[in-house]
Amino acid sequence: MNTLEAGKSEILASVGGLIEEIIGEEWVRETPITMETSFAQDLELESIELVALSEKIQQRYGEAVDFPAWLSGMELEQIIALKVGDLVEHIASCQSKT
Amino acid sequence: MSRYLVVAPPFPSHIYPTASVGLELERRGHEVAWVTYGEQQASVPAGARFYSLASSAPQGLVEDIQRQAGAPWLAGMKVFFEDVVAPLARDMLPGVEAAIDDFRPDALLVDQMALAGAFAARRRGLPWATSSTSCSLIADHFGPYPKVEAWLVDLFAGLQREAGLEPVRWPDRSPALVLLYTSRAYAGEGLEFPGHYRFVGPALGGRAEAVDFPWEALREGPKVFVSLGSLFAFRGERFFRIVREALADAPVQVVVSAPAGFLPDPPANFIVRPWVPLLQLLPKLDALVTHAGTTLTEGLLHGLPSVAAPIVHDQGSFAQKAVEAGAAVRVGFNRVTAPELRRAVFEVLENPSYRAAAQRLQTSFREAGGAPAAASALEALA
Repeated sequence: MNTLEAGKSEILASVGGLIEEIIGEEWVRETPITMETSFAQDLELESIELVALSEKIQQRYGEAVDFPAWLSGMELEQIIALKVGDLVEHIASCQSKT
Repeated sequence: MSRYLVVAPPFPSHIYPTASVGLELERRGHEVAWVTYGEQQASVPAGARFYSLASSAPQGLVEDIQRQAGAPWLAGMKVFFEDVVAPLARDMLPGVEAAIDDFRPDALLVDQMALAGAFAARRRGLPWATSSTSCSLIADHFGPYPKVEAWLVDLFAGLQREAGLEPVRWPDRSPALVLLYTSRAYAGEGLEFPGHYRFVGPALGGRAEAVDFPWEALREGPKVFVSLGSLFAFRGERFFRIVREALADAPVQVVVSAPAGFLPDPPANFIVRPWVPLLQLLPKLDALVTHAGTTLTEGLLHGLPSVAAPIVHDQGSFAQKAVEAGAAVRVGFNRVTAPELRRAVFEVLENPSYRAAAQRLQTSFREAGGAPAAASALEALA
């Protein structure tokens, strides 16, 4: 595994933990969080939970990752199809810029 | 005296407030008629003049509404506007215009989700008011998602062009009068609304409730009502199981409105009925567990706090306003566990701050003026 991939799997573990804090361990036990997990279809994330996730991402990663700005640029279909992997890639790309 | 035509979608909870407002207009000597699908006649006042578009709404419509319950948040909203609101606008327009030609109204009262009424009024140059049952669809719903808002504006523009109209940004809202059946305090004191938005509070009179209820089974002590409404209750299998686990043998009596079969062999402290006469039951209750549709408002009008478990898109922001006001505890419809639900129910029952906050909203609702305030605003419009 190269450094970039190792970084992503670290981010996935970290983001997965933040998601679990929001939706509860019972849910995560039934739906393990992978890069392919969809926020809408698989996790049935509500808008208020997305806001909560956004706050946790900000706390964890600071100003380098502007989650609300990233979301605000998305089309309806993109938000509906959003996967955990998309967020992981976004965080990785923000970090590689800093 | 004036003539008012009410244009309603085939959703009972959207028709009830217009029934209440319509009765008040009739009491003042005006004439009121309703136009919607025939199957909704039971929701308008008995004996009211009624124009039936067709016996029932377009095939698949109810299924599409229910499908949004299976689709979370924005996915559900997309289904609702594309597969419900838009086809309704097309399907209803000819019938609404035929009703206008026959009844010759001075003004229209148009439900926010019945765009055909707004289009017909604009095509005929008649004054019209919006009847809005959901303040969350009026407020800045898409703030963080500008492209989602642009998508809806596009959809609305297409529908207006099809109806031969020059598109306006929000054709669902009258430029002259928007009636909201809630209070300014509930909608959020911090938000700005245009001057023609009138917060008249809930308008609940005029609803027939011919349903039997075993009143003699109600006991002394705290009583909680549990309901997921009618449209989405079919999704409640898990939720009703959690309710049972959370409250069986708890020191509280639980009245549940649930489809037959969801709660077989209910515990001794449960009363389970498919339908209940809610307006008669509310004065006897202490708290509600609800999906945060109109039941939440009806509870607040009686000063009752809620545990809110919103199911679809606009219920979430509706529930959130009650939470922010301190009158409700929110739980996840899909996620709540039995111990969490039990804690939430006893929190709103035993912590007096919830009832105090619900009573503040109750006061704000009563002061908003209800159906008489709505009728006065409509008299100024015609």
